[in-house]
Amino acid sequence: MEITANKQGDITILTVNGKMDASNATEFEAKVKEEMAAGANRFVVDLSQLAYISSAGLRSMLFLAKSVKTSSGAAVLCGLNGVVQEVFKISGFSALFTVCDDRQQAIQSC
Amino acid sequence: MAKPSELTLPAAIENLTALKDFINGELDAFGLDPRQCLQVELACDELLTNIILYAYPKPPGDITVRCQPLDAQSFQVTIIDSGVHFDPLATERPDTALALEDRPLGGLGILLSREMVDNITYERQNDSNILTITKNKASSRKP
Repeated sequence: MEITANKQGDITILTVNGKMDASNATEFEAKVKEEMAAGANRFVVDLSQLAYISSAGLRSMLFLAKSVKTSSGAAVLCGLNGVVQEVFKISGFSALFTVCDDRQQAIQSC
Repeated sequence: MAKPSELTLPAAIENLTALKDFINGELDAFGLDPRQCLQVELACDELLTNIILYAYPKPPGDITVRCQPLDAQSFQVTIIDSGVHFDPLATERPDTALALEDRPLGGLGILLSREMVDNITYERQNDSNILTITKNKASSRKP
């Protein structure tokens, strides 16, 4: 799994690549903490390159949701597809986030 | 019927990827499509992660993964540990409609496991926990 962070104005765009499971999900939490420590509290998470997420990955997404809520920020997801989309639907996590089709829409909704 | 292939490794989080890679190789050789492979990987991942985190109060213990095609249509993965007696299928289904703050996360992994494959069974035999996961090529439950 790879996570890259880019800025667009005061929005932090996190792009996640590969597979997120119990062996690496804490890397995502660490990245969120690092960005928030540097002042970020509005996030777009682009999951279009994420092939796979387990419940451990969902926990790290929940960590992001709770963190931005505490700091009156926002977290918008985009690009969910395939099994990742299925996992969000089955778990009910789709309803916990604003979910957009693509990055442009997500930035506008953030 | 083809012979089963098997891999045994210590139940440690560092071995999760190796265990899953082994399963993925077998699934691919069997001829499941990429999405079905990811679904089986996810079902196994959740069960393996549970075992790694909770089965052995005094680590290390082992996990054995056995892969076997049942026929041209069905593939079976068996996951065996000799840790504490635990039937993950006996856990309650979580309420996925709850608000963010009220949401307990236990049970979510098992829910995902069940949804991704056609069948999962549990049995306790000779002080071992045995989970058997079955996936059919022509699974009716997924688009």
